[in-house]
Parts: sequence; structure tokens; C-alpha cells
Amino acid sequence: MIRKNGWGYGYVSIALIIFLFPIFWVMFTSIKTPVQAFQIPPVWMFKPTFENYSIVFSKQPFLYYFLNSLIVTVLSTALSLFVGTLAGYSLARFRIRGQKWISFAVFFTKMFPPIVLVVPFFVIFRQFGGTDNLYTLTLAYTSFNLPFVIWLMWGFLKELPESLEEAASIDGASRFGAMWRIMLPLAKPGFAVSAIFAAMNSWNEFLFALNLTGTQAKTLPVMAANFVTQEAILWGPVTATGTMLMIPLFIFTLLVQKHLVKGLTMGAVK
Amino acid sequence: MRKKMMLGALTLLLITVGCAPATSQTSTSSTTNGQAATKGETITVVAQSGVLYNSLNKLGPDFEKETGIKVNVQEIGRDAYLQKVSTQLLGKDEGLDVALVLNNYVGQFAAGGQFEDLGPFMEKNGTNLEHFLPASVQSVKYKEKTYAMPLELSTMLLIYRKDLIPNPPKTWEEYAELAEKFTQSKNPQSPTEFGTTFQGKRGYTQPKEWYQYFWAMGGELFDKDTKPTLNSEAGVKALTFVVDNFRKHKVVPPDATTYEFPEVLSAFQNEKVAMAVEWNAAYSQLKDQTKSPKVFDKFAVTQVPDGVSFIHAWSIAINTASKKKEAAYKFISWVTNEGAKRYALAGGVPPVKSVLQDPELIKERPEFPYIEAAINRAKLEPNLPEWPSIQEMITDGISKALAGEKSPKDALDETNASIHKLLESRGYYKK
Repeated sequence: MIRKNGWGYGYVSIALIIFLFPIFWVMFTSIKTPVQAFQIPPVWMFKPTFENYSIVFSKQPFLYYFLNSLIVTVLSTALSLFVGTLAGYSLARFRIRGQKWISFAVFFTKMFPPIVLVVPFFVIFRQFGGTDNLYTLTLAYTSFNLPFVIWLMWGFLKELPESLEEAASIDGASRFGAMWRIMLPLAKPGFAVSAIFAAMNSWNEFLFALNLTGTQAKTLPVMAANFVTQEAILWGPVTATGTMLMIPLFIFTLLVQKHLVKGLTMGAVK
Repeated sequence: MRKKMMLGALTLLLITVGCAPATSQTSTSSTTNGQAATKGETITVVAQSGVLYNSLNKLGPDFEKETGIKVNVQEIGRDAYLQKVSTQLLGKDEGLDVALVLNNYVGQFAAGGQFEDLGPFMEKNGTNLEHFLPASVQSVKYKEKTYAMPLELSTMLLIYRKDLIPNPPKTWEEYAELAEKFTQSKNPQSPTEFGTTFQGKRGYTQPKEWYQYFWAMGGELFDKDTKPTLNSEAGVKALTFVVDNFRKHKVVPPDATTYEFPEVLSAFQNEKVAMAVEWNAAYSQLKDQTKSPKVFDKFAVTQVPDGVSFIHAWSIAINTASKKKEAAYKFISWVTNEGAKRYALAGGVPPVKSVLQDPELIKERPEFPYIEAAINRAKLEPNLPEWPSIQEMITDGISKALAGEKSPKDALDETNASIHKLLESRGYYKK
């Protein structure tokens, strides 16, 4: 039932322009000189320069902070997916007393504006294990991602027919085996969505990274903010960092997206 | 398929396992060295990115050479700075030894016990504050005790296009006339679109620019009993002046309510305005041909009209939670005294008389005499622990008047009443 529709292209391109333009502008500014960046009307034809990128690399230990960001993102995403999936599965399959309250409590933690938690987190981590290391940051991010992952995986797993698991146990699979081999592959879209969101949250997070790190465990978003100096906002390096900051998540989302779409449509129409 | 995924997960795990210890090693190595005496200790200083970070970071190795104390300067961006430092200070972070704040936060952190009283250290080391400009010494005291050293002085100057304005305005009246002359809507021949601008963004800079109109027109923030007097005749006159320039005469860009230092600078660099009241830090940006290709040879600076400038000082203090206070004291006293000249050469403006008058430095930094002249009649904000809240109330009043929500008089009446109420609730007016 696919028809060609001129209007369709129109709508899609309007939507695309609206949300892609700012991103385009960031990339566009990152290859301009400071003078070109602020010319009004904007210059569209110019010789691109990579001077902003070389400023980023010479002024800041970019690769070191990049690695910090990567480690924290991978670890906290993996940890929250692991713990969150098991918790979600348990909520969906076992009869747990006070389930209603647990589900509320999981959501409750997302109701605060994050800034309220900054000082308590700081004090807690200062006393246990210290600040300015990647483990602290990983733990903090895991605690933000977990409610989301639990909620999402719970929803997905609840919808899957229990009889599938029963069939597996008749064939000799353990409870865990049934979950691992049968349920998880079916809940792949949920898993993919959780992974993308957890990774996005951790990769882009600024407030806690700012407060819980010093020089050692600093992540890229905090580094980018250093180009907002007392005297001037160095738009060139800021946009260059922003552009480089986008690339890893872009790749990750492309890789995971396949599972996302396949899973969402699979079995939708019988 | 599953195998592939497992393989992927495994490689990821291997990568992370491979990387994690490497970074944790570097983080422990920097904290474990040296326990005895101050020699070999490492102190951590947190500074805002820009001139403070750059110059302190440059001075670190010099200090280490002279004292054997290593300095680790952490760099934090402008917008996030205060948030981060307050968290560390209020959270009693031992990892932070030296903090930099604006002088009007010294009172708050002194009263709250986050800043160490420097008196005993000064007595022990035989240091005094005589080498500083008197106004800056006042700025770091709270209840007659010294809690910080003034490190970096900022004041505002009038920047103007000397090719357009041969005689800079001496009074605010002349300033208003010139502003009209160089606004295209008033005078189509004007080469610039607007005559002047205003740092109208809600926040801490906006009131600081306004005080210079306010003080010059005879206003005072408080009377002798610390009762606020912002809604005096002078207050209303000064705010009406600013609001009229913006709303009625339109000699200020219509988006000036989003302007702070960088925006004002950029408006001037792009020849959008003919003059502006701007922080002295603009000078080095403006004379740099690569940063200001259009105006680097067409600008000049002078004192603000009527000459009552605002000053504040970034002050350097010791965190009471620090475990290395001796070393921290050595650093803050060195950098504001023996190291002050080098600090100035690295780009800073130390409030030290001998440095500001140093002929060798004036050659490098031609704005120094103007800064020193500005300080003669300059005024400061009072060092009250409540200052951050009061500042918030003042910027609220100015913003409402700029937005046209309230008349200047109503806005200031409201601000004055809220300040009075706050100070009264803190027990200021008890007999």
C-alpha cells in the first residue's frame, strides 16, 4: 500500500529542516573562522578551516576526556541494562509483594529536577570512594538510567506471552535460560530503546559530570563548557567539540536502529 | 546473530577493562605524593576558564620552582563555575584547597565557615595587605577579618570609536546625546546602527553596570543603618535613564536584554554600536587584530561618564576543609605579592599599586593607567552574606523595568521592599 505522495515529502522535509538545522549550524560554524562565524548576513561560501579543531586538540586533552566519556557511557549503559532487565523481568513474571509501590518508587526518582540531587550525591560520594573518578560517575549515571530501563523492560516483557517460556521449560530450559534465550530476543526492541536512551543520557550528561569530577574524570560535555571563558565564548572550539561529540552516538544509534525498527513492526499485524 | 552480539559485547568489555585501570592509575598518582611539610605537596586550585585559569596555570611552574609545592589548577567554564565551586565548598570537599570567588561572595562563605580566616597565617608569616589598592583590601574583609586575598581586579571603562567620537562623553548627559547621534533611527547618517548598548541580561553583570549610573547620579545602595535606599530619587532617575535609552529612545539594540560581556564586545567589534560601558578585560580583545579585525585601530578607552566606576575583585581564599592549608596560604600570598608582576604579564590585572604603575608593564598593558584612575572614585558592593539574594532582587527589578512590566519607580520600590524584608528577617534592624 505504498503510494508516492508529493505532500508526504513536503511534510517530512519541513520536519527535518526544523530539527536538523541547529545541528547543521553547529557543524557549519565549526569550520568557519571567528570572523566568518558572526558575519551578518551569514556567509555560505567560504574556504572551510580546521583551525577550530586544532585549537580543541591543542588547548585540551581531548582524547583523554573522550576516553573518559566512552568508558563511563559503556559501563553505565551495560550495568543499567543488566540490572534493569533482571529487575524488569522479575517485576513482570514473579508475584512480588507491594509491586504497586515498587513501580511507583521506581518512577518517583525521576520526578525531581536533577539539580536537587547534586549536593546530596556529592556528599555521599565524597564519603564513599571519593569524587573525580570514573567509577563514581558510572554509579551515578547507572542510578539515573536504571528507573528508565526497569520501566521499559518491564513493559516489554509483560506483553510477551508466558506460554512461550513454559514451552521452553518443557523442553528443559531453566528459568534463566528461558529468559535469556527466548524472552530477551523477543524484547530486543525494548532492549535497543533502553540502550540508546541510557547511552544518550550518560554521554550527554553535564550537571553531575561537572560536580563529581575534577581534572581526572572530566567528560567531554564539561570540557566543551571550558570554552565559555570569562572574556568570550569561543564559538569555534565550542562547535568543533559539539560536532565531535555527536559522532559516536550517531554511529551507535545507526547500529542499534536496525533492531529497533525490526522489533517494533515484527508481529504487529497478524 | 547471537554469537555476533556476544562477541561485540565481549570486545566492548575487554576495551573497558583494558582502559579503566590506566585512568585510575593516573588519578591516584597525583593525590598520593608527599605528606611531610609543604614541600612536595600538591594543592588543587579551581579557577574559571579564561584569564584566571590561563595566568594561574602559567604561574604554577614558577611557584613550584620557588617553593617545591605543586599546583594543580582545575579549569571550569564561566557559566558552570559558581555552581561547581559552591557544591565543593558546601560539600566540604577535602580535594579542593584554594577557591576563587568574586569579592561579594566572600561574606557568604566567610559567615558559613567555608573560608579560612587568614589572620593567623598572616601573623605567622609576617605579611600584610599594604601593597594592595585600599578599595580591594576592603573587598575581602568580613567583620574586620581577612578571608581572602584580592587577585584579579575588574572595573568598567567606556569603550568608544575614536574615529567617530573625538571627545568622549564626560557626563551621562553627553553620553545620551552622543548615543542619539550615532543611532540610525535618529540620525540616518550614522555609520553605526546604535549609539550604545547595555549589559541587560538578567544576572550579576547587569546591576553592576547600572550602579555606575546610580552612584554618579547621587545614589547609595544602603544608608548607615544598612537600610536599602535603591528607590531614592537618584535610583529612579538612573533606572529611568537606562530604560529610556532602551525602550523610548531606542539607542540601544533591541536584544540588549540578552547582552553580557561577550555580546557587548561582539556588538562593538562588529561596528554595530559606537560606544559601550564594558569590562576592562575587553581591552586586550579589542587591540588584537585577529580577534577584532574591524575596530582594533579605531577604538579608545576612558573612564565611565561622571567617573564613579564599579569595581570588583576575584579573590583567592582557602577552603576550611583543606588538609594542606600551609601550602595553600603560601600560594595565595605568593601569587598576589611576589608573583603579582608575573601574573600581570600572563594577562591578569592584580590590584597591586606597584604593578599597575610599573612602566615596563604599562608598555605591554596600556589600559593600566585608566584602570588605576577608575579606582580612585570607584565603589564596591557591600560584603553581606545575603548579597547573592540581594543581587537577585536588584536584577529582578531592573529586568522588569527593562521589559516594561513595571515603571522604574514601581520596580525599585518593590526591590527595595524585598531587600528590607530580607535583612529585617535576618535580624539586621533589631535595636
